[in-house]
Amino acid sequence: METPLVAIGIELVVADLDRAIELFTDVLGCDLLARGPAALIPGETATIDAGNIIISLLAPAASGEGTLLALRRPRLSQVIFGADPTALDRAMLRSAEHGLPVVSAAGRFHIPPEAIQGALGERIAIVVTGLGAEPPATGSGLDEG
Amino acid sequence: MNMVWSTEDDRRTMNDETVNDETVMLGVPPPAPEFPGIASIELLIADLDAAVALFCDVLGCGLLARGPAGLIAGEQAIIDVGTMTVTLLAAADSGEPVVLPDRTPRLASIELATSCAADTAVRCLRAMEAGLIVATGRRGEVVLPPEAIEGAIGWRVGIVLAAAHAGDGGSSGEL
Amino acid sequence: MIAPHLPPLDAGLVVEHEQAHDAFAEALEHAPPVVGRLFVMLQRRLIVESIAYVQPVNSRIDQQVLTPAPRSFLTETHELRMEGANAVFRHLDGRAEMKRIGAIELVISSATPYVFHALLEGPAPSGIDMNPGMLRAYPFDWTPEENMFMHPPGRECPALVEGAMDLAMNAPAPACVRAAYLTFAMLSIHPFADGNGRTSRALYMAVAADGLRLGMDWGALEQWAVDRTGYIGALQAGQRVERYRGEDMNAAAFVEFGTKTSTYGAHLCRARLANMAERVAAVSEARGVDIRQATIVVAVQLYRVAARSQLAPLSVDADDLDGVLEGLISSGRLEWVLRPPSMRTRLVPDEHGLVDRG
Repeated sequence: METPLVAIGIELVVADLDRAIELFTDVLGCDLLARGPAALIPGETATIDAGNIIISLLAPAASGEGTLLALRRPRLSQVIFGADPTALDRAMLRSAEHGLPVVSAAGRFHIPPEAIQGALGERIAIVVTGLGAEPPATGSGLDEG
Repeated sequence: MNMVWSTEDDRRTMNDETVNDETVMLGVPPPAPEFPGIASIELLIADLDAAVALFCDVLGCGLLARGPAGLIAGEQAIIDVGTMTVTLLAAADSGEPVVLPDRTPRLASIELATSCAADTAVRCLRAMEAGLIVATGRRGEVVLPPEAIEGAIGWRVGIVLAAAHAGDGGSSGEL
Repeated sequence: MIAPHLPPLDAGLVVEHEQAHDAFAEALEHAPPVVGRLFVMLQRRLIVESIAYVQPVNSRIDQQVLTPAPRSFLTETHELRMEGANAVFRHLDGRAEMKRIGAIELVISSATPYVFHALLEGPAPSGIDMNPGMLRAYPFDWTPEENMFMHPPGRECPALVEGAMDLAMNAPAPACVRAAYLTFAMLSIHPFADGNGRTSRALYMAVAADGLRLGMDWGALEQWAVDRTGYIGALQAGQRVERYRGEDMNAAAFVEFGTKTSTYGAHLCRARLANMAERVAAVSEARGVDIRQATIVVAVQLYRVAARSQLAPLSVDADDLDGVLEGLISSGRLEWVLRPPSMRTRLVPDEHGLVDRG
């Protein structure tokens, strides 16, 4: 039997990172694991330990060096799954067989938000990463350009 | 320390003699225990068949249930994604019991699993002390409605606090 | 078209209303002045939140917190609604004071709906210009899933508003009845493009003021926000028609709702005032500070993290307030900290605030 994918995180694009962190930590009692510049786009990110999953909060900048995130509207921007190597390969193949564009990198792949919009109605990237691999950088599955 | 009023039945008949007798004291909420996790997220989606196909046929997740949405007009499917469930909700533009006014596809609610009813109550007090709007749902869950959370993260998403296995799930965050 | 008629109200409810407000007025007038100002500081905030309807922290009518935290995490729309509601409160307060010194006869005037609307919609909280201070010219319909009731055409609004205002200002009925009637009538006519709820709730305050010893109904609107379901239900109970027809509509349920909630609100205000007096006395005794210092400490507790500007209403003299604050800070009882981002607003953007260190 195939090992299922397991959701390990979600990424939320937020309007105000300070307020979002305050909500998840001071109000809801989660732990703040890290906070700093976003790796791939201008902006700031925070990582929240929500127990069974990680919540990444991304506040994309509207100016600055690098490629700005085109769609900065606050929303759920990624659902991140973990998978063992076999399940990851199968999920990638199955995505392609279903006619979905797949962007792959070492140990992970993602289906871009423009493709998922046709299934869910919202621009949400699906990211699948190998369990035990480095987690994807914040903003890795977001719209480019 | 805050004082709270008594029962709903007294609400309309209360007079000044009963006020002080009927009030009870609540303590400052104790620190909340360790955060237990996310039970479910709810996605408002445009096309339920397409969304189920994505999660089940493409990603290989399990379909736990599919049927009418409990609290609003529409249909929902519950997907097992291992660490939590994803509720896919296709809200209808007509029908019973109530039509959801804003059916824009989005993350509509996040349900947090508390350890017990007392834990839910403590977290409810923390939210009130932080100045958030708090409502109580029909299965005893606490709802921070989308109007409250919009100012924190930038869009209308409800947060539901419910003891694990408290009930039947559903879309109470939006209502 | 005509305005809805003014309904009668059970005399017993009117008496209970009068007694509750008189008892609260008596309590407020006999409270130490600083405690009275502390009450007004908190209650004013709750009234402004209620006019604006940014939804209350107090969300259960059967379990109302006496000293709810200030609403936090407000959106820009919320903040602009609060800004308008705050301006309306200042207008009401000014009119009540002018009446008290004999400069005007009534708090309400025929211009009040337009003034209120201009103040509430001036900041354009919806992000769209909604013609502040002007009646709508176009039809207004709800989406069917929100509300099936159809309001009158724009051309009928001037005469309908005039008719409703005439009854609210001149009819031989208790002010609490006329006040709730006007809210019902204005919500049914829906004469503005937006902001009708806020304007109509504020108009209740203006009419009710003329029947109260304190010149202010401190309790009702908070209850309307807490019991939103009751508020909507009482409104819709009088609108059991497809479209606006003044002669077929009945304000009775809303007038009863308004009067009962105002009575309850007066009892709550009295309990809240007593609670504050007890808290101030307890802080004064436990920490060996005078009543002014103790009041500031309790005010800081009520705000959780208090900006200096939020404490200003507690003192008639700014130097005096700074002197008291300095004493409390230097003795380690209060401390400056960063205010949480959720509390920083357009009206109170301060980065730092005071917390109680016991």
